[in-house]
Order: sequence, then C-alpha cells, then structure tokens
Amino acid sequence: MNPWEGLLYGLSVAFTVEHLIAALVGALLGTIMGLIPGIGPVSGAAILLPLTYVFDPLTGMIVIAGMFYGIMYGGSTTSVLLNIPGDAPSVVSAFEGYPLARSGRAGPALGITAIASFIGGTGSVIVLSMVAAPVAQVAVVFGSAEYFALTLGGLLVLARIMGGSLTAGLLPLAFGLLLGVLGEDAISGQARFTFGVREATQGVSIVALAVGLFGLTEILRIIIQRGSTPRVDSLRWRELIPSKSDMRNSVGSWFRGSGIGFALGLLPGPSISLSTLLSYRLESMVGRDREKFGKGAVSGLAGPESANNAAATSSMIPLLALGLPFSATLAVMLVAMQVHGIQPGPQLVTTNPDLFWGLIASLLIGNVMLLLLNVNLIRVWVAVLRVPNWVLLPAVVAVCWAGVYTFRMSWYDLLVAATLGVIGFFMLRYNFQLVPVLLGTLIGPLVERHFRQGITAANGDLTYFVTQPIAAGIWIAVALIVVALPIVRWWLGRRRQATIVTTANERHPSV
Amino acid sequence: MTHQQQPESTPLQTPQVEQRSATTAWRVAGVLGLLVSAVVAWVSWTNYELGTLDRPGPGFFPLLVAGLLAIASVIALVEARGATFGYEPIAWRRFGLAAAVILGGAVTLPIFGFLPVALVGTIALAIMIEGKFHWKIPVTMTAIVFGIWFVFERLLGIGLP
Repeated sequence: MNPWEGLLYGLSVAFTVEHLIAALVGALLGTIMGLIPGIGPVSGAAILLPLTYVFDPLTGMIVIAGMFYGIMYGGSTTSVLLNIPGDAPSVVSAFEGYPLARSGRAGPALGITAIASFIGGTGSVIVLSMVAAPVAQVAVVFGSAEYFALTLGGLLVLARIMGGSLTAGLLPLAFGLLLGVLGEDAISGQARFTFGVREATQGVSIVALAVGLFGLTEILRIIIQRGSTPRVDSLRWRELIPSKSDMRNSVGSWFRGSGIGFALGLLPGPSISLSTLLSYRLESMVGRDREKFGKGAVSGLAGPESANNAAATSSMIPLLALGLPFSATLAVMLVAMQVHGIQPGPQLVTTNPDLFWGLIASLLIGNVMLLLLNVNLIRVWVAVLRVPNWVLLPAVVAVCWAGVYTFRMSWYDLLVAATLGVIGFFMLRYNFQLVPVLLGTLIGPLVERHFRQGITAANGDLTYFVTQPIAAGIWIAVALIVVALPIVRWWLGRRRQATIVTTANERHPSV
Repeated sequence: MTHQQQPESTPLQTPQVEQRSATTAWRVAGVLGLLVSAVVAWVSWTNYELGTLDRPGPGFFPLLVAGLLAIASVIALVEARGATFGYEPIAWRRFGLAAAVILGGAVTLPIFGFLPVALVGTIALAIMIEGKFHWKIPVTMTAIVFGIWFVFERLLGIGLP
C-alpha cells in the first residue's frame, strides 16, 4: 500500500458519521480547554483523556486528535485576544496577534490563525502519511541495541537541552526513571518498591502521571495567582474573514512556516516552540509586511501559527514509526494510545493498518473539523473566555478526580496524581523541568527492557550496545549534542563577553 | 470594533519577572535526591535479585537508576550556587488550602463517593478563588458536579464511586 492509498484507506475507515461526531466533540472540548489561560496541549489533553475511555481505539484517537488541535487553537485564541498564551509555542502568536486585536482587528487575526493552523496541520499530515510508513519499515530491523540507544540517548538529549542547566533536566529525569521502576517487573513479575501496597503493583498509572504532573500542577499555579476575569468584546463570524491584503501578506508565511515547522518537529525536545520562534524571525526578515512587525504584522502571526501545527504533527513521525515520544505533548498522545490499547511502533503499520492509517486520517479530520468550528463558533469561544475562574477551575479539578479514579478504579492513582500535582508545582517554581519526569517514567521501562534483553543476548558483553552500526551512529549523535553543544555554547558566551569588553574599552579607553 | 483587554502590556514590553536565588531549593533537592538514591540502592541490594551481567535480575536496573539519581543530586548541589528562579510571591495560605482540597479530595473520594466529595471540594475551591461566599457558588458547583456525574455515569457508562 503506497502512502496515498494508505491515506485514502485511512479516510475510508475514519470517515463515518460516528467518527465525524467524535471529531466534532473532541475539537469542541479541546478548544474550550485551550481557552482556559495557562492550560496548554499537555495539561489539557491529560485532563480530557478520561472522557475518551469508553470509545473504541479509532474513535478514541479521533476524539483525541480533535482535542489536540482544539487545545492548540484555544491557546492561540487567548494569545491573540488576551495576550495570555496557553503554552510556550503560543507565546509567539501574541507578538503580532495581540497588537492586531488591540487595533480592532481581532477578527481577521483569529481568521488568519485558523487558516494558518489548518494549512500547517493539513500539509504536515499529508507529508507525515508519506514518511511515517517508510520510516517504520526501516525501524523493523532495529534490535535491542538500537532501541536502547534511541530510548536512553533520547532521554539524555532531552534532559540536556531542556531547562538550560544540567540539574534542571537530569534530576527530574532520574526522578522519572525511578517512578518508572515502581510496580511489577515486566520480565520476572516481582513487585518492586510497593511496600506491601497491592494497588502499587500495577505501577504508576500513566493517566495519574499526566493529569497530576501537568493538569493539577497548572491548576494549582493558576489558583494561587489572583486575577480578574478578562474583559473581551463579542465577535461575529463575519469579522473573522481576512481582507485581500491580509491574505496576500499571509500566503507565503503559511508555507514558509509549515516547512520550518515540519522540519523542526522531527527533532526531540522543545522543537515546536523553536519552530514558532524561528518562523517569526524569518517573517521579520522576509515577510511582506515586515515593516509592521511589533505593531500587528499579519505575516508574523501566520508563519508561527502554521509552524506550530506543522511541527506538532510532524513530531508524531518518531512516535508512530518508532513508538518513542520525545516531547511532553507526544508523551500524552502515547498515553492516550496506550489507554486505548494501541502500541505505536514499526509493527503497527503491518499488524494493524486500520489503526495506523485511521490514526493519520483522524489528524486530517481533526484539522478540518477545527477550521469549521473556529469559523462558526467564535461567539461561543469569546463567551467561554468570559467564564470566571471560580467556575472553570473547580470543574476541571472534579473532572481530574473522576478521570484518574475511573481509569483503574484505584485510590492509589488518585493519591499519586494529587501528590505529583503538589510536587510538580514546586518543581516548576524552582526551574526544574516536568517533561523529563513524564518521559522518564514512560520510556524508563523501555530502556530497562531493551537493556536486559540486549545484555542477555550478548552474554554480558556491554560493547554490544555501541558496536552495532546504527546504535553507534545514534550514540555519536547523542554525544555531539550532550557534550559538544554545551562546549560550543560556552565558547560562544566567552566570545560574546570578550566582544563586549573590547567594545567597552574602545568607547572608554581610560577605564 | 475596538477591543479592550487586560493586561495592557504587549509581549514586546512584558515586565521582567524578578529573579531570585534558588540555591537553598536546589540544595534541598540535591540532599533529598541523595537520600532517596541511598534508600533505593539499599532496598534494591537487599530485597531484589541483582543477577549477573549476562542475566540481570529485577534489582539491577533500579540500582543503576539510584546511581544516576545520586550523580544528578551531586550535580544539583554543585550547580545550586548560581541557580535562580523567576520570583512571583506565593500566597501560602491560598496554596495550602488549594493543595489540601486537592489532596483531601483524592484521599476521601474512594471512601465517601464522588458526589459529596466533589461538591464540598469544588465549593471550597470556588470560594477560595472568588475570595468570598455568594449564593451562586453552591448553585453553580452543584450543577457542575451533577453534570460531570451525569457525563461519566450516564453518557459514558463509567461507574463513579
């Protein structure tokens, strides 16, 4: 099956009335969640995840795809209208979107955002459908050494590039790996670190982990910040339609942003935020209305929005092809898939083509549904922005309680989620990263499994992990990023400092 | 149509968050990390089979993780001196109450059931967020909690305690 046939097959599987309603519900719930200031795709998807338990895997994934794009669009809406980004990638949307809204052009700004998100997301899904299956076929030959290098190497890269300092990433990663070993050992079946608590033998629930670490942490953070409900004037859908000059100024930006987003989305770590920043920088140099930058340039909104959705979609290639999530959003997507019994990876395309292609088609449906919803329901979104926090936040906490408990009907999960919520709050406050905790817990058991399988197959020969050609290549890349990157950064810092000192001396020779 | 929104600052003029030293917090994290890694190593060593290098047992990987945690904790202690964080004062009473409601709800929900715990918890949180009690709070929260119960129990068919 070639990629086009695969995509058409996926659409034939996913394109039913039931699935369209599922996509609609997902996009609706996702957008509402994304409109809560401070709630981004990770925490939003984690909170909404329990609502998808009852669906079959494909329907569940369609709901989640709708939610995923909905939350991202909701975050961009608060960026444009209120200057409050839902998450890091939406920060750039506020740079030009908010000045546009303040100058009375909120409607066209949201219209441009919707079209940009649609183009970035849809283009990326089409390329994804062409690339994911071939990559998965290559990955079929991967053995324990390659997977060990990919999993541990990926975690180390992530811990190194997130947060700036080594501690901010490495300590949370070790904490996450530790959480990952709690419960029953997958190979011997022995319970580890359960201290006689029966419920703990199942390990840390992935839902409790995601909801606690991202959902409850964010809610605690928002609750303690006293803030009034923002005032937003109403909008009509007619006001969303961009003018001809807006369209002319955006067209190039949509495609440039999509290209940047797709390419950067393939890298591990905060690649989505990076792609939006890079796209903004590029538009400030080549955008048609670059002279308006900082005052409401349409190209500065269109490019990053396309990049945001394109990167979010292309970052799914490693997840779908290798089964490895290298960002928090992907980790929650993996959690969502696992909740529905889907284990992404190289085998998925051959053993379960319905799910693989249906999943890719669901991303496409989610994108289309969101565009239709955004244009027609703008008044509803503005109304949601007016709902005060005292109504929204307690409701979200109640959904978290219900969702975490009903996943495994376990009091232990509730306690874990609430405790991680409090721990996450303090970690965030003191600049520790939360993403390595989540990924360490999720990927840690894979690292252990591939290590134990590999070392047993190699009769205790540790060199097995670095002498296989692909694994060796991965380790060289990891070493370059983990070791060489800080050295280059340090050298650049020193050079900059030297330049500043020289300039100061030239200006004030007597000093 | 003009839009009047708050806050007034644009992202290009975002006020700088004050930076404060996180030295103590990172030192506490480093010491806690060392303690936890020692406990994990001791429990792994004494309770689980370590196996051999060609056939590692269930205690082998936790021991490696304990080692990584110890290394990360030492690095935290070393890096603690220059560590900073964006300072925004915490309203400790507010945080304590919110954390107590979230933790208390998690403990009591399986015992007393979703409806009473969620009702009390959401009303408490709403009063705290609003800063005062008014009649809309219990009415709205009752509607929301019953709505969530209805979605889980009736629409989705997921049994709540």
